Amino acid sequence: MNALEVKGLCKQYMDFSLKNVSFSLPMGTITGLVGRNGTGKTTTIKSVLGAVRPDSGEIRILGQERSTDIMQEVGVVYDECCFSGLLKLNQLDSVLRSIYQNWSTDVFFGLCEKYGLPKDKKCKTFSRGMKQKLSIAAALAHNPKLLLLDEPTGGLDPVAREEILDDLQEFVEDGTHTVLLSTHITTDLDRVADQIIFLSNGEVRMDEDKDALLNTYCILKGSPEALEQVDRTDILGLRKNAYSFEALCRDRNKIIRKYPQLVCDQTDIERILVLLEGGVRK
Amino acid sequence: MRGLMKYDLMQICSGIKGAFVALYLILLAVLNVFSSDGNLFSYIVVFISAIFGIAAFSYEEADHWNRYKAALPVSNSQIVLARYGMLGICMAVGIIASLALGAISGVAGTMELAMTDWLLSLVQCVIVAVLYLEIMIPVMYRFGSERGRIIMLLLFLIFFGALCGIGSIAYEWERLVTVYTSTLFMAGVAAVLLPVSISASIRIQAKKEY
Repeated sequence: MNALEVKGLCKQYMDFSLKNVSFSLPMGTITGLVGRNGTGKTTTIKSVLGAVRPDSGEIRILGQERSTDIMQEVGVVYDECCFSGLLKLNQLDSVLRSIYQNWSTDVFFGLCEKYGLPKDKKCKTFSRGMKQKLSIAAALAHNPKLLLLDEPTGGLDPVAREEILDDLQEFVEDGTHTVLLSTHITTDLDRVADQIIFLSNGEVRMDEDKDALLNTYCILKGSPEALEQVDRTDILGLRKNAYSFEALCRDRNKIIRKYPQLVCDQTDIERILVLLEGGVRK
Repeated sequence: MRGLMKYDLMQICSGIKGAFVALYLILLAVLNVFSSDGNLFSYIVVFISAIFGIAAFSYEEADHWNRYKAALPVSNSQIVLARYGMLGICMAVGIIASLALGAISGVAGTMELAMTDWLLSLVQCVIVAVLYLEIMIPVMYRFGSERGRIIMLLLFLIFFGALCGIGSIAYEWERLVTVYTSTLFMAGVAAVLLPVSISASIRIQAKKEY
């Protein structure tokens, strides 16, 4: 059973549409959802959560259709804290304890203490990073089976980001919890993701295992003159300037054999995204 | 549902405390009780409590709590009923405060009306406040807090104008329309309107996107 199955998700807005977005999240994995701004990452996550009603498509969470019962097993962290600034941690705990059956006050306050969140102050006194940590603590405290995070680490310092990523890795360790992480900080995904879904213009352009992705794809580099020697069918994305070019290619071993005179580097998620979406630049 | 009501109530209480609104209201109440306007202020308190409750719509839009609620394991019916329940509690607090003010005014000898007349007027105020909420809540769900307030103001002017028209006609039949029959009539309208209001709010909430 997959933690999340999305099939043929479509949503039409005036100037944007999600077109047949389909993907699955295996249990016990962290999946990164990447793409440029406005490609539909947040709309996809909101569709899964029910904050947006898709025009068509099927969504199954833990093998079931979305219902109030199954939403007990889902946690969410949005790009900004959604809790009232007028409340304190104990008040928030009291509210969420009444809503989530598996809510653990000990886990919640344990995480709040770990993240350095003061118990006796109202949330409006928290910094942006602290509010995000609060959102993460609230999402983890009811032990969800599926955790959806939309830009959760924006505004966090590097140390805090490391802490959060460690917590996410620990979260999925037992194989019964799953994370979908939408983020622009691709280095986070390089570190923790098992699978990468790449959205472009409302469509899934790539849905692959992260390690296979990084082993398969490569960056071919050389002078502009050397670009003439490269077969265009080998190029998935290209950036060039007056002095050099970078081309995203598939099947690293084949490319090394075919173009021994050119430099063929390993890639990372950011370069793949930039080269697939960046287009040709002079 | 209880958690959602708790959230709204805690927020409203925190907002009232933080902005010293409670202190201001208590000061006003004391001034009015001892200046023979206690009965008037007791009517106003009912409306103030309703308005405080309506502020929950503004709060949740500002914090995006409505977006978070959509992902909680609660149904649209529970979301809406929690809001009505919270407003009911706010009204109840307002009524208790009004009764207390009236009692204090009576004891202090500054009550201008007979107690029974005052109580009847208070009942009428409560019914009007309930009617106000029954219309306001679906409007808020549909249009949001900012546009909802403007629309409510327009509806109020139309409603008030209609009432004045009915009142001038009823004046001709004053022997038939007593204050008791008009109160009962209003209570009946409020009772009939409540399930309509809740049903409309649930339908609107079900279609909302964040």
